[in-house]
Amino acid sequence: MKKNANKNYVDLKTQPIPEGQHLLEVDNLKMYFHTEDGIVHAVDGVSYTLDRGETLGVVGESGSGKSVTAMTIMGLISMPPGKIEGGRVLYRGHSLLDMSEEEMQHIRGNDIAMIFQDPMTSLNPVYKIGKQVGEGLRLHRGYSKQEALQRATELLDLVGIPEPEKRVNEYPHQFSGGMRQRVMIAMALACDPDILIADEPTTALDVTIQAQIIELMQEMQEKNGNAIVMITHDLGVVADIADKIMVMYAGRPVEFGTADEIFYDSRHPYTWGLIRSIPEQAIDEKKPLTPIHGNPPSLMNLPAGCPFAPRCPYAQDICHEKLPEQVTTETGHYSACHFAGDMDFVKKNAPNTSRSRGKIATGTPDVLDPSVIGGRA
Amino acid sequence: MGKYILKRVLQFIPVFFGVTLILFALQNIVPGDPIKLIGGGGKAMTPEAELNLRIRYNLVQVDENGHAVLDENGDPMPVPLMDQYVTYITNLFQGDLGESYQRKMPVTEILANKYPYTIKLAACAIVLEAIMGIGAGIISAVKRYSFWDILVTLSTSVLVAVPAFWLGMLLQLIFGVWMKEWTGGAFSLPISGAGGAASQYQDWIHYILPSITLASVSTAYAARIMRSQLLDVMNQDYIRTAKAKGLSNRAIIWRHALKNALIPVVTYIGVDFGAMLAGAILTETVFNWPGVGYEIYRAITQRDWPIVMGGVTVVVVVVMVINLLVDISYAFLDPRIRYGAPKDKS
Repeated sequence: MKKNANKNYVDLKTQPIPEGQHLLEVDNLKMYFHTEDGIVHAVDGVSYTLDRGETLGVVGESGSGKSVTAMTIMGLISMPPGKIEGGRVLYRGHSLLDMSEEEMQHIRGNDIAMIFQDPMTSLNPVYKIGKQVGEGLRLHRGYSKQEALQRATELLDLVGIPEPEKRVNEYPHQFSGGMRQRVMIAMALACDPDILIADEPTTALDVTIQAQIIELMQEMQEKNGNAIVMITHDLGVVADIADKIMVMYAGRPVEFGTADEIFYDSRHPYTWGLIRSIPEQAIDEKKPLTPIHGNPPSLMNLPAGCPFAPRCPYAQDICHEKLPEQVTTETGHYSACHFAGDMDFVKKNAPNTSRSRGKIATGTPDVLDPSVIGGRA
Repeated sequence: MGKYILKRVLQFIPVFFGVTLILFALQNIVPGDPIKLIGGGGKAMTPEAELNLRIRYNLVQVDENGHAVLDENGDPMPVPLMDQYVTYITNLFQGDLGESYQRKMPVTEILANKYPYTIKLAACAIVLEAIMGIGAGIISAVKRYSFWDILVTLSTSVLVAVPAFWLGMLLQLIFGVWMKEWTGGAFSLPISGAGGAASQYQDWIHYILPSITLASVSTAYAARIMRSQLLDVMNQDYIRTAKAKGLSNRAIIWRHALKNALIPVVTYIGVDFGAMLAGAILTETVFNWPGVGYEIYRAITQRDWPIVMGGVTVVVVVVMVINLLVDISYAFLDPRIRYGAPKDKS
């Protein structure tokens, strides 16, 4: 690899964000897959903004388009079969979708880094940890082998891996799942990226390790000031750390707001379903779980109206006929439901997560204390 | 690692005795009397001469004066099979593989003359196989569904199905015969032997056609394994990680994918090299190649059992050693094996 491969490249990280714009702006992004069986509407009109130091939680069931959205931003979708059918992604005012593959290579790992769901398979089994963690530094910063290894050792120390001098020379199979995810985080943060996209980073880990990893990501965010996009199917996970939450269903955002708004003032029946399906911490009685019945629709032939209508207990005729518009409040909180503006409907049917009750059992009853949620940033 | 090697070497023992014992038994089942064949079969030999040969080759029991022990019918008593085997093994450990019935030479000397040709041919073929097989596999995986991929996939399918001896004859016909006619003798390739003073070609030219023939089937397999492995590896999560790091496609293939994908291919080629060192009987026969394969083939047709036994014994040892080396090299490619860890569930 040429050392000065990116000599002529202006590091976007060092450039100011244009006036009135955000660090990352995703606007009406659409990514369809053209398969032999038909067109899969994997991402169909996703919009959000993100600033440094912020954390966005993206929540939804499997197949709701959370990961594809992130991979599209990173340019990691093979095209074909994928095709961007519309929308914009602006990073510091520069359109990522218009960049060449070579330009995107400078962005990946350097400006926007990503960690993945399964740390057991996300590291290359035949290379030492130090080499893998330092690889980005050699690529983007032109570090020598020695410097990269040195920095990799520091990074391992930073993410809480004991005996980093010894561990840099070990192979992935000598690490536990939680330790590997720490390595992934060290690797992602090596070049001090603006944005860290975490695609279900705790799903494959033991429950006891999950909280540690989330905490680590938060800690690193406080140190580096990077933004985080936390993709998860578990509302409980984002409850801890997200400033904003986007709930996705069938490739579309159905509700977007601050963590407070989503937990305590949500207007969409799907979000309600997600909140209700969080297992409650019942101390003295056994309660059955409350699932959302049915399955997400096929992204190939979406129903005519609201995609959630077939599973929605409150669906009316209009829901099956017309795609709902986004109902937006003055704070920017929006819900894609025909009845989101009907406060009587919302009051009557929303789950009992009012502020007065103060807790949804997520394993740690006090995490949803309003002073914690949204209190950072 | 040392413990592992010791364990593997200990496993040699039963394999070695098993193979030699079976072979020893087989040579007594196969019809045809080797001693009668020495004289060309039929009545060319007097009974006395024949008996003397049987005594010389330790096939009949003798008394202390060197005379054959006769049974009640006046026939010489054969040495029990087990005793012959014990004698064979005892001599073997003293470096004596016996004497050829036909050539009247020590088997060790014959094998020492023949083996270099087999080794040289195997080396040429394995280099060809490694370069062509791995190269074609990589091209075909990287340029998936392209013209080159289809070319590789198709031609390997055909090559796998073509028997080596037939391919050898075809090459001989095209390059040895037709080419000679078409070019008026200006260009052709030798169709037999490994050169020497009498040959009109330089020695190395003799290696071209046999190498291609010997390598053909396994090159096709190596290419197919390489292709499927590389495609499989390119779908692994760690390739996505590498991509997310900002590495170029080329760097991902060369640095992250290839080392992983090569592991099974190297194993295959290594084991194949062992098989080639065992003497490519078909290829060597078709090309009249003066190697062990052809020698063993010749010895079988003449029931020259000492050569068959000696040749196969050497081959067994060589194959076992090569396989051990392949397993050890595996550990250098794959750290999970080196450290005795369980494979990932991936």
